[in-house]
Amino acid sequence: MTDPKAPSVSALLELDRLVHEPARLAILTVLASAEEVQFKFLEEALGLTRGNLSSHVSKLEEAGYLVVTKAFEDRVPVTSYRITARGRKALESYRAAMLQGLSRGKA
Amino acid sequence: MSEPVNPSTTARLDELAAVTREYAKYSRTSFGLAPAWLGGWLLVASALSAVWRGSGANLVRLTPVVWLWALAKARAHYQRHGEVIEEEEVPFPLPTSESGRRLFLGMIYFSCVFGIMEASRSGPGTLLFSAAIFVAVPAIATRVLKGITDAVVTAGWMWTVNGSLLRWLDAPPLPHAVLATFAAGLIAAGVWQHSKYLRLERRLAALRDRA
Repeated sequence: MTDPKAPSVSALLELDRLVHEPARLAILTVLASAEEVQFKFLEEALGLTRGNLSSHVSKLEEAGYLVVTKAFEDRVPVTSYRITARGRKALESYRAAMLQGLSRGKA
Repeated sequence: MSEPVNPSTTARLDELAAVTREYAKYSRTSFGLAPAWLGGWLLVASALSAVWRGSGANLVRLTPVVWLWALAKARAHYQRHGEVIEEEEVPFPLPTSESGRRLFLGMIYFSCVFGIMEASRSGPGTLLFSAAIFVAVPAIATRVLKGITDAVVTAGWMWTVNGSLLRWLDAPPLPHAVLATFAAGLIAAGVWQHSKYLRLERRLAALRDRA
């Protein structure tokens, strides 16, 4: 007999590993809460090093989860990010799957 | 941000999202101390207009320019940890961001025309001054305004200053009491928003320390 409340292991194994990494999950969470976010705020809020943050952002950009805008403000280069519809959907799916798995685990 | 995802991580992510949304408000809907500066300006300008009629009224007419200056300064101060633009909830559909920008610039220009018409009722002497101010404001506004919310607030200032406010100043003594109350309200709103921001900064620092 299979417990219908048992967590679906296959569903957990199919989690988006790109989103599953904690730093990238945090980056997507911040981006999903605003229209546009500058690199400096991500650095400040997440406490990540510049190199580490750039590396995670590049991976998310390659996957089409965010778009990068580079501009100059008072001759200073400024990099901003926006989450894409694809990125938002990936984050929502991930959170839904995780929360479902965690709540089933508690039951 | 290195431990595996678990319920406490989920709670921290929710906190991170909440802090980001609140911080983003200082890009559009929360102006920090900007209303307080404007309230102070209105008090000084209206006091001068009471003793120095004509030229004093022109100081009051500068209010939209002072507002945009205060807005730009407040934004630079409150978003010093990096700019985060708030998601704008517009009560009507905007097909693209470019058309949205055209729409709110249209609102500003409409307010300019209204402002100049109102100023002409105060006398021909002030018309040229008002026209110059209200041509200059949109030029500044295109650099400072970031959305419909800003446009509505700035247009509101233009209507208030050139409509009711200048007429109130011409009919003392009650108008000065009304204006003083209005200015005190602006100062209180600015101080309240600033205290909210200070709490937000502590939350942001706590999140960073726990990362």
